[in-house]
Amino acid sequence: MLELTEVTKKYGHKTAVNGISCSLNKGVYGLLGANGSGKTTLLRMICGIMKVSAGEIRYGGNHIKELGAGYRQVLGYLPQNFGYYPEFTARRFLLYLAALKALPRNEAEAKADELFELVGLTQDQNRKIKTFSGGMVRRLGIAQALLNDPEILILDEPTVGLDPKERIRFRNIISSLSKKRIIILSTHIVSDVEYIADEILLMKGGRLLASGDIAKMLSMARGKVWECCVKPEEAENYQALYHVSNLRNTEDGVRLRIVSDTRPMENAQPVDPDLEDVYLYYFREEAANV
Amino acid sequence: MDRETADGKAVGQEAVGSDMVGRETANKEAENVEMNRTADRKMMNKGDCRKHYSKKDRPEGAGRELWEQAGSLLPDDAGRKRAMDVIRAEIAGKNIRHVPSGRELIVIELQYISPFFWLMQGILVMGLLLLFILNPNQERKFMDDIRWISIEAAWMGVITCSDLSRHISRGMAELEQSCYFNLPQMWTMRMIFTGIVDILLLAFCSGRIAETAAVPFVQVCIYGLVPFVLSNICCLQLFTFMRGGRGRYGQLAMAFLAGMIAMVPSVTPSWYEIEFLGLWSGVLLTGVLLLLWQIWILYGKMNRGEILCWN
Repeated sequence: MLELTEVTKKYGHKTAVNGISCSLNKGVYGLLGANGSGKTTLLRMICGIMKVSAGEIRYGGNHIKELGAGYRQVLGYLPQNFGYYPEFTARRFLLYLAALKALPRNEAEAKADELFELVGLTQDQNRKIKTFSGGMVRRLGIAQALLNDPEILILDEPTVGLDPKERIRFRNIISSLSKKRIIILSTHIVSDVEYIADEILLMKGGRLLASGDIAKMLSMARGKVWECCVKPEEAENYQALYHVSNLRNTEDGVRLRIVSDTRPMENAQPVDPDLEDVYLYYFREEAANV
Repeated sequence: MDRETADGKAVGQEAVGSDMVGRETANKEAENVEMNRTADRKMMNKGDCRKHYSKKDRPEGAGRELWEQAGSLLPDDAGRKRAMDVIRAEIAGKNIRHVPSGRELIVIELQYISPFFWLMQGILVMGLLLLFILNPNQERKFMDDIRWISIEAAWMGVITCSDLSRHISRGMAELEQSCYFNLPQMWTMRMIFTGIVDILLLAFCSGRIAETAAVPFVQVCIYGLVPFVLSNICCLQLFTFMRGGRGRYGQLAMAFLAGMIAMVPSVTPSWYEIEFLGLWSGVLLTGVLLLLWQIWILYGKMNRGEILCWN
């Protein structure tokens, strides 16, 4: 079990992460939040890359700093912006990271084969990484995170640059891995976590705003999502007044999906919320500033 | 209940009746053996449990009751089996991790040093070989030799540091820091390795110069080590304090600084008079202390994650 107790990170006077406490068991955790909400900083602290300003992180009851290399050995991490040595081939890159993750050479070779197959890069494994597309680099990143069969898998924006097919493949990979390990998946793309996360952690302004399983999160927005049909010329006014999660042109007019505490108009019908509505409900201010 | 079911089957299925009877007998025998074993174990446990106490030591009253109960304390075989099964499942579920030896770590480190580093080090070694072995010109002036060794020494620092900086400039540092064999460990190993190689090379060159010019070996060593240490300080300065200058411009700045350091001897040959040796020693000592302090600061920043992450 991974336990975070009052984890805080400060950069000078700015507090990036503010007193986060939670316990994570095996399963997939979707860390949702707007840009700048402190997701990446929190993940870096969980990985031990960044030192916490206050609070502590424990794995299996032990402080991760004390566990040191032993903790890093059970960790798989995909950073948000991960680089590579362009002169390396994909295979050499994986073998290099396998060596850093203390995998014996023969085991690393077998694991690399398995992972290239898993992420669909078998045909390209001997190509230099600098010739790869963004999606291929991302898939290579996912493969390296899985090299050591990690007990804790931390993925920071893993689906950026992936096309829909690759995104589905990625979701399936994560689902298949979730039984044996703690997977923390940070994203601001709600659909990435909607299908696979066992629990959602909502972060805002460095704080953990809400957490719970999908059903619990949806229940929080129940009665706050409405659908209504308006004339095309009125749609813009409603967009200015309310938080519109979806807008669709139909023969009858413009169908709006609105997130609001109150009924936006007489003929608005309450509808079941989805995770995007929940996200919009909690991040209304950020959405308004966009 | 089981026996009833088994009996029912034996009656209903005549074809296998004799087999069933035989099996039933065998089962009964096995049960008897197990019962006898359990009884034996009870007896043994009773004996084991209280054998150290004589009759007069036995407690009275409430203690007596506990004493009697203690006699019936038996190992719970089923419970023990369940517990063992849980332990076995836990063990089977554990991922046995390989812990690499120091030798393995050195091999890994050497295996993945960049080709650029080997190439540049090779060029330096070739330059020295050409200068001191293939061209053993006894007529060469002491100052010429010092100039060459200073240039080489300054570039040694640049090459080492630019190789170290690759981790950061390529955006790999964050990922590497999350690995078992992390960035400070890699840097330490590389600095020790390249430092030893470079210092040995400088010592070799100093020996040759000292031999040719009839100047004390230590004196020449100090002249060579000063630009080496200063160029290392300048390069590490870029990582420590000039976070934005790590890329291409940082490398150019390092090269420029190295050139400046290397030019010191040719500009002021009088500084190499014996009376300035104390000053040189002081600069070297200060430089070494400054370098160690810089490394300490840099590692502190790395451990806090300050210079590893892109954003």
